[in-house]
Amino acid sequence: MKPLRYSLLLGTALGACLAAPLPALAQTHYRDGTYPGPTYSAYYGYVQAQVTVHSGKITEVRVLKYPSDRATSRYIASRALPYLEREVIRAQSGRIYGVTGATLDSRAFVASIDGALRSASH
Amino acid sequence: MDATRFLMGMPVTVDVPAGTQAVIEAAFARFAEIEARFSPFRPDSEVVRFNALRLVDGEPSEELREVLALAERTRIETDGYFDIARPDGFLDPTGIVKGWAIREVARQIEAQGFADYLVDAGGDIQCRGNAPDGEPWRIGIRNPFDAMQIVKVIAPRDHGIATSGTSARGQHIYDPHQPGRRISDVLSITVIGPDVLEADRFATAAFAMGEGGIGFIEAQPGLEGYLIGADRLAVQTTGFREFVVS
Repeated sequence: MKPLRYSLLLGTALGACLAAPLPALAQTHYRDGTYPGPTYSAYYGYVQAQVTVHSGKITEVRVLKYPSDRATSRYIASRALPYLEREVIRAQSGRIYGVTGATLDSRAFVASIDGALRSASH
Repeated sequence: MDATRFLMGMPVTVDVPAGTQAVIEAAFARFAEIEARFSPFRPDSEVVRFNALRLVDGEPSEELREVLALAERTRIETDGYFDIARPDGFLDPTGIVKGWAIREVARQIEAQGFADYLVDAGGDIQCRGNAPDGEPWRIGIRNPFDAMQIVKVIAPRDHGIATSGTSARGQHIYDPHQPGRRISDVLSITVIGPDVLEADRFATAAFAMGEGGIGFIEAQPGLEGYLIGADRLAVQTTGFREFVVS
């Protein structure tokens, strides 16, 4: 068996479940070395693993690539976290250089807040 | 230095801390040029002549082609929630032009070698680098219930920020899928994007979607959003807090 083949199996297994044990592979003898696997699509993103073999045994499996694209990981996350963070709005203050949400003169608004804060501090 | 003028039907602020008067003037001149080409209210604008099928040689210009292509792309990306076709059939690209114009001016300032600037047209803002106080630019999100208040202070860093809402000009967005429907459950949605054009076009579409708009922004790579509802509750996307100062 070529290392590529292990990676294919690992890739599939990792795509299904990163924590799954690999009993079938554990029965085989391997050449010592570190073998990065090819990249596979796991539908929601790409997965790539790397296997290190020492004294004929798998000593380490590293995930080199996993679905980190935000849209897809968010899609998955959205299943686990149905609610986005909510809060009751309340007034804030601080030095600002523009106001979004305004179609009025935002600089005038800024100046006005500055003025209000100045009078508030007297 | 900075200056504010009334252009494209809204106040426009250009702030380039290390810039000269000439830099500011050139920025406003570019806005004026864009307004002359794209205004739906000027009988001699290219947009009006385009709609009247009265284009002359060399038109449509590269700029009009670019803006129309952007509008069409946005219509597709937002499932028709963003559409420049008015009910009377007139193609009015104003909804794209605002963000596009800010981005054009920002690029012009950058090309002149300035790393710190802020360009604000009617509350849609592109900023880069630091404010005159040496800190990153900070932008307030207006309270739709009280125009004299802000409810968040945001440091967009080198992003664009835009808000679509009902707070300042009344009901100016309609749902193309339900023409008679008032969008009343959502008062404003603020979007932070890779540049102001991206923020603006997606804010407009997300607002038209009503409460589902924030989920739409959540699903878009590179965009963050803050929705304020009629119940005074705000809903934010998962990465929004990275931009919040207070």
